[in-house]
Amino acid sequence: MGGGMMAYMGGMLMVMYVYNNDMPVGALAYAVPLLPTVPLLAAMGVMGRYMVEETDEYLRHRTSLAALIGLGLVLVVGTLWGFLETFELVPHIWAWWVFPVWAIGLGIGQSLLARYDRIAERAELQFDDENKAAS
Amino acid sequence: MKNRLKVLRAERDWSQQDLAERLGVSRQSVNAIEKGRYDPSLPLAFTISEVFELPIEAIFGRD
Repeated sequence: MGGGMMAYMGGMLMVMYVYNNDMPVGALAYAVPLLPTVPLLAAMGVMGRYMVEETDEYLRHRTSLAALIGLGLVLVVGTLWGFLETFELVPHIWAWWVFPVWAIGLGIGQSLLARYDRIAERAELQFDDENKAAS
Repeated sequence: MKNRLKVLRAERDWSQQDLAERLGVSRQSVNAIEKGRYDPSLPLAFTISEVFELPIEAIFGRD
């Protein structure tokens, strides 16, 4: 996913450079802007494949929750920004922002859930150690 | 849903990792199920039942 995001950023910079220096025409005008979407679509494919191939149902469940947190972030940011934009209080932003925002939400969700798990595990290990010491 | 995983595990002197290996899942899964933070699917509940050689209702119950 990280590699995909790097390729996406690189692709975006390249497309902006091409458009700023020499505006492509014809089919190229459509193909060049779609270039950065390739790693994004690949990242979505990898995510989907992980969800299908993950055999541990709890880890799959945790990833689903993190993906929902990402989706929630997209909805909240999109709704707030959309209304502010309607009243011309913030500048217009393009729709491609949804994937980076979703990915940020996914990352936040994964780290929060993993942290919660680590705290629970630490408490369990401490309990086991105390039990062993007592017996 | 409440469960007796911790007690059953302690009776057999198994760590969460031991149980996770027997079930073919991660230690996080065992921890989440044991703490009641995650209810296992029916297939996993059957596997747990087989590992402990007990019926499902002897391991899991309503809150």
